[in-house]
Amino acid sequence: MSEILEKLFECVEFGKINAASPYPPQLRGQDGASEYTQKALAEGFSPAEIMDTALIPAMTKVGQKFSENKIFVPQMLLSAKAMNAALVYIKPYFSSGEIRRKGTFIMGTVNGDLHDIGKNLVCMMVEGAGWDVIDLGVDVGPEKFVESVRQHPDAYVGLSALLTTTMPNMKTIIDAVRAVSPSTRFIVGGAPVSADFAASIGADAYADNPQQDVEALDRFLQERA
Amino acid sequence: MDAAFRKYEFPIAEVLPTVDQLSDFLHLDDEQHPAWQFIIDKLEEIRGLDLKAVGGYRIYPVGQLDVKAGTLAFAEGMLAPRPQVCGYLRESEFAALFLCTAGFYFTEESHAYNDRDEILESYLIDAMGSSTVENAMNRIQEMLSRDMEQQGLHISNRYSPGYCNWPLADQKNLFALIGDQPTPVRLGESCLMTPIKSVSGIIGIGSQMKKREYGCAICENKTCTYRRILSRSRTQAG
Repeated sequence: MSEILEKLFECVEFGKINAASPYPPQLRGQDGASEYTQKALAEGFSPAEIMDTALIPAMTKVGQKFSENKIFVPQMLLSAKAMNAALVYIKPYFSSGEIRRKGTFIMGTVNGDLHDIGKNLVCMMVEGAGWDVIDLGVDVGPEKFVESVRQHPDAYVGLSALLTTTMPNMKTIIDAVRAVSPSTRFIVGGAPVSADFAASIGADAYADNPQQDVEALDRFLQERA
Repeated sequence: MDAAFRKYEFPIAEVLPTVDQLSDFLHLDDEQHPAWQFIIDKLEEIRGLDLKAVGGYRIYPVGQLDVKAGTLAFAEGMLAPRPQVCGYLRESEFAALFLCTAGFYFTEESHAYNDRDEILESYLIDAMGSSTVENAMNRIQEMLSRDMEQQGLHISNRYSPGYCNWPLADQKNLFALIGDQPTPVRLGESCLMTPIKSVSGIIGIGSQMKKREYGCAICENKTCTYRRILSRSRTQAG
């Protein structure tokens, strides 16, 4: 990997947002993700190369470290901030088609449930892994998921629930979506959810941390190919 | 024992977490991390706001406690916390049914930051709300303990629906027993309390009551994030 992309990788991994950011101490006084992304583009690296070589692998490493309890949410979110600082310069190439996204991921917290922290973390990590993310928000019922899947028929769907009382709504949503789109695949997660429960309601994967969402989506993609 | 709802109010500054308490909760051990300074500044800002944490309890005599069946009967109704929690409440002669809230501020402020894509700050404020309501409930529990000790009674730790295998759906029975009360805490159809930063549950009271372990030490939720953090702490300590 070129030095500039290596630096960008390091900035995202450790949460160095821009040159003015004093954190992390070992990178103080140096450029951050914002400047390195601009420099990489100026030096002729394609936006796709920047994404695939630096940004996505850096966020993958962050997700792995989080899933292994080597870092915690504040560190992960700082990395996401650095990633977002880089994406400011990359996102215009999403719409132009110069960067192909891996696919679309529709995510929401199920009806009756207003918890959003876990959902937000998943959205952030999945977007950082190269997916278009449609965040439907919290307290989302079957109709909204069905409507979103109709608009994005190739999308995968993520469901979050933090309450044992709202977990059953996951099955209602899966059944409603499958009634109009039988091949749609689902990932479910949230504190009270288990792999056994996921299997029992017909979900295709269970994720107990955001990195497992990313891994499941990549697996779906390989299986589709 | 008076069955009236005993209400407590705390100025928010009295029950906000300390920086150390919050950094422990978040496993934030690097004082140079930007979250650290944000926490210091935000706690200072919140201390200056006219906000209150509100909570309280209603005490009922325990009619029958069936550990095997996992039920707790009162003259006014029944709870089904399951055998584990009922075991911890075995010596209860009375039970304090409590609720407490840090109010709407933390969730609204967290959402406002999230809407501006300030995701780290949003998360930190959410955590501040969680710690605040637990601190407020700690204060209520301490005052309950003091009151009961004066009558020769001891209290248990506190237990909540959704934890230690106590079904969250039983929260409806808990709220029915608590009845009308002067706090802003309300229960939704899915048993989600609003404001979100609220807690509810039961504390056993009795002359022979013993305080047993609480929280992660007795919870069997294998997938809980806090359990993963606890495991890591134990590994590091070991």
